[in-house]
Amino acid sequence: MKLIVSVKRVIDYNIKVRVKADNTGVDLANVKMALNPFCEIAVEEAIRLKEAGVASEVVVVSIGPTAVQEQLRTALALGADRAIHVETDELPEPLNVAKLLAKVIEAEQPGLVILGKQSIDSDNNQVGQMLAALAGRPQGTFASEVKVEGGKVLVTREVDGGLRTLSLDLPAIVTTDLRLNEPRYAKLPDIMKAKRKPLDVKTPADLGVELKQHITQLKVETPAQREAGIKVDSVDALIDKLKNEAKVI
Amino acid sequence: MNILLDSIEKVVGSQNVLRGEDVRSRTADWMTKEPCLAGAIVRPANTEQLSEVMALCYEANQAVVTHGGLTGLVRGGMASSDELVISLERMTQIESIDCVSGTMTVQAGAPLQSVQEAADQAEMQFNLDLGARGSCTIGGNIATNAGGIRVIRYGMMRDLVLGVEAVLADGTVVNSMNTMLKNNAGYDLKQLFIGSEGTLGIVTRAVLKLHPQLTATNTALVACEDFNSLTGLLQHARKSLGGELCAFEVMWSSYYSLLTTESNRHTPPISSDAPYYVLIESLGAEQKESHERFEKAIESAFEKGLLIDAVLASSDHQREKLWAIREDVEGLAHLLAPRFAFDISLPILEMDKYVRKLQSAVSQRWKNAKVIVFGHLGDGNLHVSVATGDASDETREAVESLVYEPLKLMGGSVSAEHGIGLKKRKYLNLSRTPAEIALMQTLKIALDPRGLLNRNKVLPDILA
Repeated sequence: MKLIVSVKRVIDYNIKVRVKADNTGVDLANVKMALNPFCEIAVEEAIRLKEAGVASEVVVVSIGPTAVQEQLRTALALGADRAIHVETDELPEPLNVAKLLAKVIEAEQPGLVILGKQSIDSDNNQVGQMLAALAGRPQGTFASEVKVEGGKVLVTREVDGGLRTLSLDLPAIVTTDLRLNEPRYAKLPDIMKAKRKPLDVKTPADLGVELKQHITQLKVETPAQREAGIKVDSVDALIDKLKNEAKVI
Repeated sequence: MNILLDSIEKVVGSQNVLRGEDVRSRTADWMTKEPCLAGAIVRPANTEQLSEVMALCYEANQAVVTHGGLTGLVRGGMASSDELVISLERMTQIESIDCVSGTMTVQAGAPLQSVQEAADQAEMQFNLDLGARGSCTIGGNIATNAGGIRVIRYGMMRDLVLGVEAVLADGTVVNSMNTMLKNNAGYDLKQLFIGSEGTLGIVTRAVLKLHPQLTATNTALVACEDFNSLTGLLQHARKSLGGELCAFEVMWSSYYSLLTTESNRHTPPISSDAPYYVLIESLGAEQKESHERFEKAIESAFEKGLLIDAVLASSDHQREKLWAIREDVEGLAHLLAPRFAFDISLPILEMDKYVRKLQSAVSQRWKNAKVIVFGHLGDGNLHVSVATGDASDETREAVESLVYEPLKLMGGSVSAEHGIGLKKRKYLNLSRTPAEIALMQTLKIALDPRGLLNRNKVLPDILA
């Protein structure tokens, strides 16, 4: 069975982001970038399925400018077999991503597609679901356990107050939650090998998709700064402040 | 002491003189968690108050012990019931930052981490870094000339301090708050207070040296087959990273396997059967360029056979997990308890022979004893833990002489970065000549004639 994993290049989640002065977005100049953590988990799960003999090939896909090839190489170093880079100038909105991925799936015919449930930069949590609709395949979102058995994929989902397990007919779409697995480190010999693994570059036109913009980002702001606390010198002063300034009693 | 404390209360306020249970409920030593036994704890708010307090103590012949973050490892913060503790916990202000000159002026009680964060905010970097960053203070870092994990690139605390203000035993304030890189007007007095462990004066404020903020970190954990590859790798990293090398932390297999496979505290990123592991980190200006240089350096080391396996952190989260293995001192203490811990320096080329000899000497004497070694190889500094199963004074002395004696011959030091404190006092003569120790004593008498500051620490007793 062939697996497709889609990955996104995002700002490293440990880095403190800075909003551009004109509020048009986050400053990405010379900022450390990494695989989106949920995508990294998706890659890890695919590699484990391959190591377990369930999958025969893992194809990793990313959409964006040339720089996303860095993350594709990371995924190849982690154990993916080949990569597809769909080159676009900017990062397209979720519907466009889903349409491009649907075309890739049409061409590749994978048994299972694994995606991160959302990317930590835009926090949309939309692509997996849109892709399932466009490709007409069943979806298991927020997976905390994935098992492939007898032509089905069993997906355990973390829901409020418990677990819920679904059985999906293959081919299917699965999106990963944080607790699915602990991604491995890229080993040096594999990093070196990854440089020679095949990486195909395609354009949206090659896939027959016209990118349409439906969403415009108006502004990005930092959270409001919390004012520093003050010390009061008596209980009476405290009650007075709570009553008349904070108006909570 | 009570009359004196009443006068001190008038200076700092009664809520800033702690007595009785308030003193006993604090610990005096990070490792042993012993309660603080001092007569009282005095918490001045600024240099002026401390100066007045010290003038009163001088008059009353009252001995004092200075407390910062209490993360020291040589029992330098221990105080007896006839001593007062001066705690700088209220003196935590970051007074100013000058990005052009690259300086920051702070009060000595400021925790290291808050200084690092203030520098970050100003898009600068303060380059002392060690595991205790959240608790240790700048004053303590100065008093002990702290080292840590970036010494290979930026030097020890001494290299990061431009100016110091200190209060002497009699309350005199010595303002040596130089802010310039160059100042050869007479003696460089700040050096007296750096690394003298509070025995010559109490550091109250400092001018620190900042560097431009670099954000491109690259981290790898590598395994080496033998000691020659390890030293070869150090040379290779220095050269091929072109000055971007900022950490070269070696873990002997005994350390690595104890904290990974043997204890399950950390998942081993690479298999645990190699004799040496190194955490290598570079720090550069440009993400892409720096990453490419780093990857190339590691790859060429692999091709030259200097390392047999490696993992590269692909995110900051992975970087933190790699560092967590190296910085898990708590795990080490917990797994080995009771243990004796040492911080020695010696010529890099002698290290392997030294460790092997120590291991065989220890296991000859205590059959199931463990010798666990890690350290800042590039700095010539090893941290050695010996666990024999008991913590008696007799065993301690026997272990100490096995660890320290060979150092004298090879020109090593009984303390690379932790200092002497109470713990290593009697071994000072293994690393310093009689003339050096005599000159230290001359300085001590000149600055603290009544012997009030950190009594009985660092130096051997002065013969009258």
